[in-house]
Amino acid sequence: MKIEDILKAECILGNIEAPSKEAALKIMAEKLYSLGYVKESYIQAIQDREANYPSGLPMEDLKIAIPHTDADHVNQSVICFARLPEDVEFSVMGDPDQKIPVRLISMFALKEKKKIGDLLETLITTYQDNNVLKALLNAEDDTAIYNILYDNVGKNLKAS
Amino acid sequence: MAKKILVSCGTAVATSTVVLRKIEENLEEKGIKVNLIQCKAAEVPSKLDGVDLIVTTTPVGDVGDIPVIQTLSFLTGIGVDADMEKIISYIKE
Repeated sequence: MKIEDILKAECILGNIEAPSKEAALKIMAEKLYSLGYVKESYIQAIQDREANYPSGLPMEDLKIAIPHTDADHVNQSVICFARLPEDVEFSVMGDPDQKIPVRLISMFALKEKKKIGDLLETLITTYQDNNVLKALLNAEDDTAIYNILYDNVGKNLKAS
Repeated sequence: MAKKILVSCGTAVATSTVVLRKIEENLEEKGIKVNLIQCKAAEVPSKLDGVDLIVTTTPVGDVGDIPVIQTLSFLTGIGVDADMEKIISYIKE
């Protein structure tokens, strides 16, 4: 997988207003649907998945969420990144009783089922660096966000 | 014989996959071979046969005398080294 194959400038949403995680996920999923990356069923599937298997990462300082869902709902693999002006609450991946405030959401849609572990590990490794999260939060515009993701996710992405 | 580590999370889908890979890579670097098995936290009490250690992101039920490490370090990156030391200390005994 190459970074240019899954990172698209049109899927960077540097300033979306959303009062809740559900609202944020809806905006992001509808964006992917309108661009043809996912099927209409993805929009509901991403909500269901997040409710059952939450994706918030409780890093020490800044937090991020990495929502995703099954390959069946996907036409073409892509990362959709959103930044919110205010915190929304996500539950923690692997420990759903824990809640964290999130302003950065790194959604992905993956068509190749067996690559999900690779991409998850790549994203988690990338976002374990608080400097990356800080840069994303403070990035001037969508282009700056794109460049940070291109460099840092790209660096960790396995060549396979 | 390679030690058996059960890796569990709430769902045995994404989270434990990542945790398992991180542990595997860490141990490989140190030349330690283990048998890693992924499962749901709820399934842990029924999968204890021959298990030397349990690493989990979320509480597991009654596991008797088998040591349990409950941690999110492999997801957050905080405290990975300390957890790896703990893991190694249990499987080296």
